[in-house]
Amino acid sequence: MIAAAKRRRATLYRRLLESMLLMCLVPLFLVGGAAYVQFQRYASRMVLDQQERLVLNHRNFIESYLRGRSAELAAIANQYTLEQLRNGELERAFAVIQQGAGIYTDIGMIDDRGNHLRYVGPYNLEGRNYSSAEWFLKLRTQDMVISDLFTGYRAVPHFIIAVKRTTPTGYWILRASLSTDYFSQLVERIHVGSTGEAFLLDRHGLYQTKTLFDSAPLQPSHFPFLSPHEGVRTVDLNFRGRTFLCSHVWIMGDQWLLVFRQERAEAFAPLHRALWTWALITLAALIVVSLATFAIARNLVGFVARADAEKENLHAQLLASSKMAAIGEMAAGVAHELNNPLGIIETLRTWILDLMPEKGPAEADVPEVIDSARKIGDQVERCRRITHDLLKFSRRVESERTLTDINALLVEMLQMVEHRAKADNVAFHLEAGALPSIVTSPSRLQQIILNILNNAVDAMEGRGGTVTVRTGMRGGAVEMVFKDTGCGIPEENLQRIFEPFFTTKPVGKGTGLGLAVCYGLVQQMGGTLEVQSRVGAGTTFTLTLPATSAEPGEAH
Amino acid sequence: MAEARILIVDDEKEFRDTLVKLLGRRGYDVSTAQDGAQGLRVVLRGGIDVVLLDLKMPGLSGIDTLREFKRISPGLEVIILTGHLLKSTEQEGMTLGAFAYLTKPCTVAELVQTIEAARAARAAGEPSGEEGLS
Repeated sequence: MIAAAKRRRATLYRRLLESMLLMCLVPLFLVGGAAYVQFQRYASRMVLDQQERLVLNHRNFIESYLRGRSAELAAIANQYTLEQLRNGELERAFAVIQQGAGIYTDIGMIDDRGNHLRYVGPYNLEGRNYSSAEWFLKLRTQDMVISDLFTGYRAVPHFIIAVKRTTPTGYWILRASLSTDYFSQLVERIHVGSTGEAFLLDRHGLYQTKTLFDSAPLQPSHFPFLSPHEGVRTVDLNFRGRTFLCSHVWIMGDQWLLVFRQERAEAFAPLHRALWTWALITLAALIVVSLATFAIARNLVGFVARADAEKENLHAQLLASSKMAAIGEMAAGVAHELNNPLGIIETLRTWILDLMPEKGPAEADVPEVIDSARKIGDQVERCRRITHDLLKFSRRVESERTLTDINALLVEMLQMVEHRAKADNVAFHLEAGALPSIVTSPSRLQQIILNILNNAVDAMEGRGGTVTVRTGMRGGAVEMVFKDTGCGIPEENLQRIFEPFFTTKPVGKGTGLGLAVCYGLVQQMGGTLEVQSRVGAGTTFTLTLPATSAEPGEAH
Repeated sequence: MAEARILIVDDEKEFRDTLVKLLGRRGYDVSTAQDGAQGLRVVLRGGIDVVLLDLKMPGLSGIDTLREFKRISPGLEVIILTGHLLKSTEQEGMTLGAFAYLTKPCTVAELVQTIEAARAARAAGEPSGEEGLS
């Protein structure tokens, strides 16, 4: 019984853990998972948006810078005449726009046939002819040109801004080359982290500015997205085994492609850090919830264990008290059976004394004295039989589970109960069938049988009757049938006779525990106890016990 | 005092026989019955002063016999003499009007003393000598 309770508690513990963990963890995972996915989406969008906004701002900055430069040149071209500039004003104007910052490398004037009329700068370019240069050809139809990076006569990569001044007789051109270093710095000024950088490509994919990893200006970039498009686009690109997040936008119409790239891992690093923190918090919550669940389940099962122990205790007390009641009832009957011969012995003793005056018995009285003494012997033998049976009975009281011959046990018990029931004129018959010995607790079986037999005797209500006990095998089980010719049990009571405290005996005569305890014992032994009854005809109790008695958890 | 007439109602033959001899020797006129029904017939014939009554007997129980005795002859003194030790049985018997409750084994001296007390009580409760059927 204790082992069964232990198994039951283990199951309870497991079920509690399962259901509580499920109850706590599933919502945690659902809420946490949804939040994780949402946050990741939102944060990724934020990273992309930020990068695209950066690129757009940078484009605006570069475009306004270049427009500023071309406006400067246009202002000089409009302010001065060709002659003024050729005669020294060019140097002054150059100094003004240079602002000591080295924005420009040089400046020069070209006539409408492409001849370099005047030059201020480090290279010796005066007198060169540009009539076949790309920018010169464009100026036929445009007022202003910003060239792509090219090497030109000076054999150094550079690009130029040229503005056209139209006069009544034709036009002339003011041309300045931008300082490549200065411009590169402008473009590159939006360094982000250790890998974030911006650079320019021309329509053929040639670098226009320097980059961190590869390339000098004019080297091919192999950048694959060179077709014109509106707005910013962002793509992942593999570059030297690393993945970069590239945002690109066309600037100055579609002359150059402004690219900003940053290694993906670095771009998303803050997001990943946030997600890691989130995951750690979730993990901590999981651990706390799990530990709490374990503790609560352990606690609850502890309560149940204590309740089980109390129940076990109570059950043992109930068993003991009902056993005492059954034995007490029998003891009263046995005492009566002992008192009868003792009463006879006492009267015979007095009779012998009557016949034995001081001087010895009269001759005629001697046979009478001897007869009385013999009769005392008979009564003593009668008492001895009763005490002998009692002794056999009591040997069973403490015995544990053992191989038991049911028929032999019944013989002993019936002898015992016969003493008790003799005065009630109850006769007992045992119809013993062939039975195997079974492993069971004789003391418990005795308690059950004693209860049934006591009830059978009580059912005679002093009128006398017969109790027939029949044994045999039925369907692999040992069957014992106790049939009495007593008063019977009314239908309405038959339902309740195994209930604790149900009794029809007068107050003080029965506890109402006998059959309830028997029922519990029989169930523990893996058997069944059934009752059939007809009022006025008698009652039949049928007790079955498994022939191969396993009785789980019976051991102490 | 005239010779007292005693009836022993007990299912134990050995007990009845020995008690007849003992009480006879002590000057009593003793009749016997082996169960309640026979005892009632003897009482109905009249002339019994004191009954010694066992409780556990086949057939009519001692308590029922006592009830009948008291019904047909209210002045009859009944001494319960039984091996039954239960307090509740004793109370029941005394309530039904038994004179005394003696448990076996008891000494003959004790028994004679109680019979005498019962006779005295009967004499006191019945001075006119009213007898027999009522």
